[in-house]
Amino acid sequence: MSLNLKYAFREGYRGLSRARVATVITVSTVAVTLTLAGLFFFLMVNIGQTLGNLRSRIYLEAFLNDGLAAEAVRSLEEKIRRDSAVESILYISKEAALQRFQEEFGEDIQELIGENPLPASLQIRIHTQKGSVEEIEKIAAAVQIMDGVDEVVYHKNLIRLVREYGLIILAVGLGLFILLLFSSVFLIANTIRLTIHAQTRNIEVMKLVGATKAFIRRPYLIQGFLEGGIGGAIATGILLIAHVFLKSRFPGLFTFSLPVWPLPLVFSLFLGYAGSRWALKYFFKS
Amino acid sequence: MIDIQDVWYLAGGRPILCDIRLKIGRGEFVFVVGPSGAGKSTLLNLVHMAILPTRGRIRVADFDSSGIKPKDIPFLRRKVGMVFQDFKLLEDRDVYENVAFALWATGVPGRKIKKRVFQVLADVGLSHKRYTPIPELSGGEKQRVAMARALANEPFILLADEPTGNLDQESSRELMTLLGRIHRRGTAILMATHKEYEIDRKDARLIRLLEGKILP
Repeated sequence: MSLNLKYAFREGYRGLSRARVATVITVSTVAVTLTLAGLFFFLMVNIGQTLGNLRSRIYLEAFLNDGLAAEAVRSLEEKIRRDSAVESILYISKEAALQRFQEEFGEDIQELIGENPLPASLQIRIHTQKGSVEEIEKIAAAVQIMDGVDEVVYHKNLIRLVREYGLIILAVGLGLFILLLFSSVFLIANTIRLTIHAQTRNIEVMKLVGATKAFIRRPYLIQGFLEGGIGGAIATGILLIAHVFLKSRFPGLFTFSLPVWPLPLVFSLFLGYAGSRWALKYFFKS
Repeated sequence: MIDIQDVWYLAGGRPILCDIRLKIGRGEFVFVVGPSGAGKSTLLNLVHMAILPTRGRIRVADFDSSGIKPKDIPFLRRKVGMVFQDFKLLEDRDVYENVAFALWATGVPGRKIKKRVFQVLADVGLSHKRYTPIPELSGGEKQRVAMARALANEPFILLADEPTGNLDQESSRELMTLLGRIHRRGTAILMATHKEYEIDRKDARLIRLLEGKILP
């Protein structure tokens, strides 16, 4: 390691121990913030997955008039398929509907009332990324008035929840996540600013003897790295323990296998660096 | 070596220095004398390029105030040592660290630092106090540490702004003797003082400054 770096590391470490109380506050706040951000991240991933599952279940069911010929069903299918928002159409015959009913409720309705009362239907799936609630309503209305269609039903509330509130939930989550990260940067910047203010004489002397700006800044950047890094390491530890605990209690909770564990640490180093740069910019400007 | 050409310096519209013309050659000893507020410190700060002239130009070795960029100033400072009345030492470090600081800050390789620090501390007569914390030193000793720090990078000129201002008579005399020794080794010296009675050097040039102007 070059002398300059060794010096910068030593001074960075000294900076931490000089402003001990501020350092402890910053490191613990970074740790808490990143732990919250990490938990939030997992929560968002799980919400995202749930919304994805719900999206794949969005379909309209068009019940057909009894006795509709196969040709008429095919022509209906073709007409419906012309809308680009329609992903696929599944024809469920009266017999298939009866079988489903039996599987779901365990009773043979035909035997009970002497005939099969269930109509044939077309299950119309909508592209997950396409189609607002209004568009789906439009498709439903259009299908409703087609010849051979008796009734169109769909989970209006579920569609509204997924299409409208899903995005809002994710956007609010992302907003809060970014806010947490910003508060970490601000806290680190503030501690570094305190350290720099306590070191004004040192910086004056450094300038006096011909130290370059980069040389003066380096120990403070390292201090920020260390503060962020320690906070990040603590957060990573807490999240790992939380992960092990939650996985043993709720095995279905973590269904993704992203290598996310080093993320808080990497993030924290970035936060530390950003915080220091912010403080230094402010200091050198003033 | 130092060429000050028609320099004016205004602060808040008020002239602090007016039409200063001055040349200092290699190895010269120059005193700038005058009462408080005459502009002595401003003149030294201009040479050190802590401030830049409002009008006119200053050339210090290869550095020219009219075109100098902020990133070049640290390199000028390595060739121009400066000491102040209030020493400007790092109070939380010892004598050795204060001197070594100037070498660390300018990227001198580690193996050379120790040797150079011991050398300049010997020059100013403080070898025996190298690990003494700064608050435990007398005023005269503090000024000698400041001088050792200024000399650590082997500047061609030493700027001394009222270096005896905070010292008693005995310490002042010792410091003047030390400055004479440094000068004899070839370092030019530009010293600002209001104590004209302290000047006992026949080989030195004397410049009188009053209300920002050099007296003829």
